[in-house]
Amino acid sequence: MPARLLTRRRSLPLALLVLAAALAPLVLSDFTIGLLALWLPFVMLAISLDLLWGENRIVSFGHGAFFAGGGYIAGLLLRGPQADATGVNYALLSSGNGNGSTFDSVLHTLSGIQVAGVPPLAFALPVAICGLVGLLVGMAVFRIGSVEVYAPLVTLGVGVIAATVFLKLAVIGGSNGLSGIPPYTRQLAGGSQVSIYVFNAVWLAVVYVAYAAFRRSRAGRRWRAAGDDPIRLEALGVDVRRLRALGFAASAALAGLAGALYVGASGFMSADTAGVVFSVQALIWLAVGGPGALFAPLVGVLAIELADHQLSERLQNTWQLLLGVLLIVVVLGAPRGLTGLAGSGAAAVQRLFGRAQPPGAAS
Amino acid sequence: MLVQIAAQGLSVGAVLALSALGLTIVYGVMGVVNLAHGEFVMLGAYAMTLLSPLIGPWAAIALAPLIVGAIGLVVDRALIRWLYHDPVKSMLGTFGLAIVIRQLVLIVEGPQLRYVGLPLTGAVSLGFGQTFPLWRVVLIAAAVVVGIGMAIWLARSATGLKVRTTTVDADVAQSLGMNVGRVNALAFAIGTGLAGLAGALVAPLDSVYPNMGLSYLVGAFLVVILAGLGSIRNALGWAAGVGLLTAAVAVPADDVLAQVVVWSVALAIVALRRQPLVASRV
Repeated sequence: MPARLLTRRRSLPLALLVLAAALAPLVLSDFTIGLLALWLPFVMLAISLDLLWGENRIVSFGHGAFFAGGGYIAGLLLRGPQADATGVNYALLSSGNGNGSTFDSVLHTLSGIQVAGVPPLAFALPVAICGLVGLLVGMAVFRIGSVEVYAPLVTLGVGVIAATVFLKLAVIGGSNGLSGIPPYTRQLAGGSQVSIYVFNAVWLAVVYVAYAAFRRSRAGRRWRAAGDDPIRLEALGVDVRRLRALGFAASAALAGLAGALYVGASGFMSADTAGVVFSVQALIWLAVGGPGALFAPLVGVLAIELADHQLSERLQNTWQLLLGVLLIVVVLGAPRGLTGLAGSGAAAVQRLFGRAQPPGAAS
Repeated sequence: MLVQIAAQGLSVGAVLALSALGLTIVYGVMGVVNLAHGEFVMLGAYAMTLLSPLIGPWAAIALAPLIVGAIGLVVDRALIRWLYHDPVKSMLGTFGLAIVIRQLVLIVEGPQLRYVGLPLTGAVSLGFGQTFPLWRVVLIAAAVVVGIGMAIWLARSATGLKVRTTTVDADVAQSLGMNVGRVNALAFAIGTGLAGLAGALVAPLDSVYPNMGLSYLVGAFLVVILAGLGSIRNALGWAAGVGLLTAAVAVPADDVLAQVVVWSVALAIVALRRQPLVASRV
């Protein structure tokens, strides 16, 4: 099968999607565009989870840590050294070997490298550092028995450590969080909401195309095979553990990039983001979207965040309750999520009009 | 200080053991990773705070596991039984359950912190002029008694045999004529009942509020990662180990560093261990 990205079935919705994304700034208010600019990095985070969960049945309860880590790194580079951030108070290392001035001068040098006002290291460093940490975590997780059970447990631990450390690091604001981060488009376009939205939308589009291409590539099929039948793949001569460690690293790097884009839109990052609650929120997006489906991350994030935005203030605690019930309902009743429901709905309509497809064709 | 660390460590370990036991039994028997486990601890703590002014602390401690276990039984029939032997599905479903329980308690009882007095206020002398709260001694004793009691019950009783058989192979147990559904429900009621007991016992030492469960879940997870899901003996041993390591860092330094050290050591141990972790029997 030739690796074609644009099948006829996909090209129409895709064209509509691109059109909608392009027209959104003309139609929607600045406030709504600002919200969308925040949600697009969430979609990227959901893609990084789908790479693991949808394609390989690995569930991570710690991707918030990579998202937050990437956000902090990018935030520091975007903001540059601050007058008030005088000392690096590594409360964890009570001997005090953190040296404020050294940190500031390194940060000054790194954030000084700019292309059109955008420090490229604000993307490169989160990707590199989160990727490296992800590789180490992946090497640890996939050595041991049942991946389905232990990947969530170990990644949960990673999230706990990260949230605890971030909370204590004075250099990234400690429990106050890192605030006052300027957007990437500060010099390009004055940092308007629309410019931030376009910036994040272009990044997301690039990632989405790359992800779609990966899914159809040889490497993508091998990756999926490792989820379907790791033992057989091992017998065919593939080192499944190394493959999974690499895949986890790629996913962590993508989550770091998402965090870097997020702080450009929010101007803020807090240690809470690294915690279990946000990591699970990201899993809920994907569960509702339908893990394994290309558009699930987009559908899931938009559905949940729109509902959250509309209902959370009006219903307060009841909204959280509904979210819990929704998660249970999706897990029990619609394991392929909203995209799965839409798919079976479309198939039902087609059957109704006599254009039946063989069951294997709808994938 | 060594005595202080040992005493403190064992009491931290006792709480970990009590909350990890239920988690590990539920996974061992029905292959469900219960992310709502911390919420059952929270329910136990609420049962303690609400009941002990009415019927006294000791009766409240006795009732809390029964009440929470009964809630667990209902939850098992309504939800958990659809999640058996599917770790990923069970984690998501029980996380949804955790949100539901938390929000229901929040809506009914409000977000404020609640406190309950210590049933026993004395202290024991550790020598070297240091003392140790009597309630923490009770906690350690309770963990040891419950742990050993569970192990004996599983090893000797007829029901324990059924539970062990189901753990090894649910299909075979079913074909031998055991009512596996009933065994599963019983195991889930026991697991949540233990969580309720843990909650009731720690309530006097901690503030009680709707979101308190998460830290107990995380602690229980830590023990379970190290001990392997489904093994009681290992869970008790590793809970003590984790408690002692926590105290060894927390007493001279601080809690945060302790948490980081403990998790880092745990991940390192997991990474360096060769054999698969899933124990084949309870």
